[in-house]
Amino acid sequence: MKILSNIKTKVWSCVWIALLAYLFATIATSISNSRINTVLTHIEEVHFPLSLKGERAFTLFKEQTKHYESALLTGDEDELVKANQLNDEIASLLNELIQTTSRSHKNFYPLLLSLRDSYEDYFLIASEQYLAALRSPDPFSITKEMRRIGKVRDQLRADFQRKSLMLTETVVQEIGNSKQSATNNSRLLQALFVAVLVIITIVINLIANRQLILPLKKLRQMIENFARGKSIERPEICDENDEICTLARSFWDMTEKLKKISVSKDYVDNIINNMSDSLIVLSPSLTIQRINQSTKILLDYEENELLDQPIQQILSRDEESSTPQTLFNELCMGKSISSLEMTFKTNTGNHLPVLFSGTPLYDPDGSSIQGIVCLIRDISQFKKEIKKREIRINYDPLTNLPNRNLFLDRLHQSVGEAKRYQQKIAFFIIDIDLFSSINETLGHETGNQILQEAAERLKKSVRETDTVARMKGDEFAVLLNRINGPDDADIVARKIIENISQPFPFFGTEIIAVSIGISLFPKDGVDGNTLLKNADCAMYEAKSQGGNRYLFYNEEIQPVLN
Amino acid sequence: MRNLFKISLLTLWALWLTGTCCFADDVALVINNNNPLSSISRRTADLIFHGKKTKWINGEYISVLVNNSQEVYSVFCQKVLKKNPRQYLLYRKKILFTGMGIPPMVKKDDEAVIAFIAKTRNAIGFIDKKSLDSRVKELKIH
Repeated sequence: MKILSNIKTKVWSCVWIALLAYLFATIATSISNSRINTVLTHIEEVHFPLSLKGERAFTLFKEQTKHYESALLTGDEDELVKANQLNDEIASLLNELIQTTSRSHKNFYPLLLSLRDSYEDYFLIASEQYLAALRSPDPFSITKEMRRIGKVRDQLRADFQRKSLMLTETVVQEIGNSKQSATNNSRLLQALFVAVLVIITIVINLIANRQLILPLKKLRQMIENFARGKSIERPEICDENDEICTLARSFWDMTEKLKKISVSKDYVDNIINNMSDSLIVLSPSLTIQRINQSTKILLDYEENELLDQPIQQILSRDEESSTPQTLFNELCMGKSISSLEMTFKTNTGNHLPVLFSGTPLYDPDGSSIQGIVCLIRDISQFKKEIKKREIRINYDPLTNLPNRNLFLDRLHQSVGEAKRYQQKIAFFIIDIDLFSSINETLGHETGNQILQEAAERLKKSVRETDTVARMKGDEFAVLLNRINGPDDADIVARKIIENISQPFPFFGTEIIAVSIGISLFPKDGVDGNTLLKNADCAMYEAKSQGGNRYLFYNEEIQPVLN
Repeated sequence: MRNLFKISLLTLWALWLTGTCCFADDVALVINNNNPLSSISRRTADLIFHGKKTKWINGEYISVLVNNSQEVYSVFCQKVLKKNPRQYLLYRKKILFTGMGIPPMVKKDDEAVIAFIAKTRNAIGFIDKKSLDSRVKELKIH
């Protein structure tokens, strides 16, 4: 099919097929006409002359008979001469008929031969007898001969008539046969035309379909696929004269170039679905229009469960009810929000801390807001990490009590608060007596157990609002907020000593004792450091007095030298 | 002119006189004595002499004779056949030519006719009435 490369040759091929069919039909008509022509020529050259000559011979014979009759009736010998003269013509006509039929009409030939013989016999007798009758004084004397001639003539006349009629009938029959043949030919030609018409219709349809319509359909399919964003196949390599194929290839080349310079929908979808952050597109009426894969995973919803649902469905109720509404209203007004911490609610009811960013999505012409693009980042893990870190920084891992840092921080806070509200604070420094020797004799593990148990007993000795902390080694601190006076501190100090002095289950009958130094705000200091320092002094003082006691700071206590 | 008219009239009269005096007055149809017939109609006679009636009542073929004696023949043609003698001659020649019928046999005079009829049972002919004799029987026309 290389020959049919371009549209021009394809169209011309269809035209040529139609012309060939026309030629074929014309040839068929010519053959048919020529056949009819042959038959008509045969009639013209053979049958018709035969009929004419037969008729002529018969007419001449009748004329001859009239002359003989006239001669006999009138006794005019001229009539006899005329009759005899006709003989030559009749004989020659009969001979011509015989000659013609000998070639083409074998069935007529013997009949005409016998006719000629009969005529010649008749003529011989007739010419002689009529002359005799004419010259005889009494013609009735040869009545017998006359009768015989009359009978022969009658037979001959009947024979002439019959054969002349046969020849005429043959012409009529031949014309009839020609008519029938022409009718048959015409029917055959009609059938042939219909067949040729059907065949060329099918062939032209096939060519047009295969060479023009199918490639164009493929091209259209390719363009439609491209318009829908589907992938398209590379067209086969073809002749450069094939316009359709060249067009398809040019289109393909164009799409390839377009792919390089533009971003396909698939590409964008792919990006959106593979984003680690969750993407939610809201309509201006704050219903969810689109979500990505991360959103589904994060919130544990199927896509159809969320689409067209209001945004409130995934917002945590713990959020202040007015905040998100205000926030989204602002977004709808065209404001952008970035990295706002919010809490979302998952399908299972879990509350999820997230960082929320929202941007209004404008129409391509920028006239109105089409929706809001929300980007949500899950920060629950981050939050947990922060909390862990916080614990690690501010708490003592052995006893789970706040460490020195946190305690000092709270102390400063409490001091500030107490200053503002003119409250009183008691600050205890508690140190386990002889802890280093316990550690040395019983080991660090027992030492740690003692520290843990002591921490528990300290917590039980104070109110829930008070703070117990481990400052270092075997040194603890207690902060009593909003006390009425030294008496409250005194009660707590006693309770601590009592609780600690209870036997430790893993420590046998040995008693653990502690020394407590107490400083009071604002009496012993108006800032944390002073209070700490003074309580420390009081504790050392208590320890120096033998331990297992508590001591309020007073100015007589010597400052501890580091 | 008047003389010429008179001459013509005289000539015609003379011709009429000779015709009546010189030609036979009447003819008679004659048949064989053994023929039982005695008379026939003029029409039948006409048919017989034109060859259109060919058989007697008993089925025998009629043998027709023509008397070639010019006077008798003329009278016969005019009185019996009501025809010009030449017309009858042509008629007979036509029959002779066609060969379809048998033309009447020709006898030269009354004697020949009588002689032939006398010995031929189924013959018929015509003669001058004056020539009638016992050898033949006259067939009357009614």
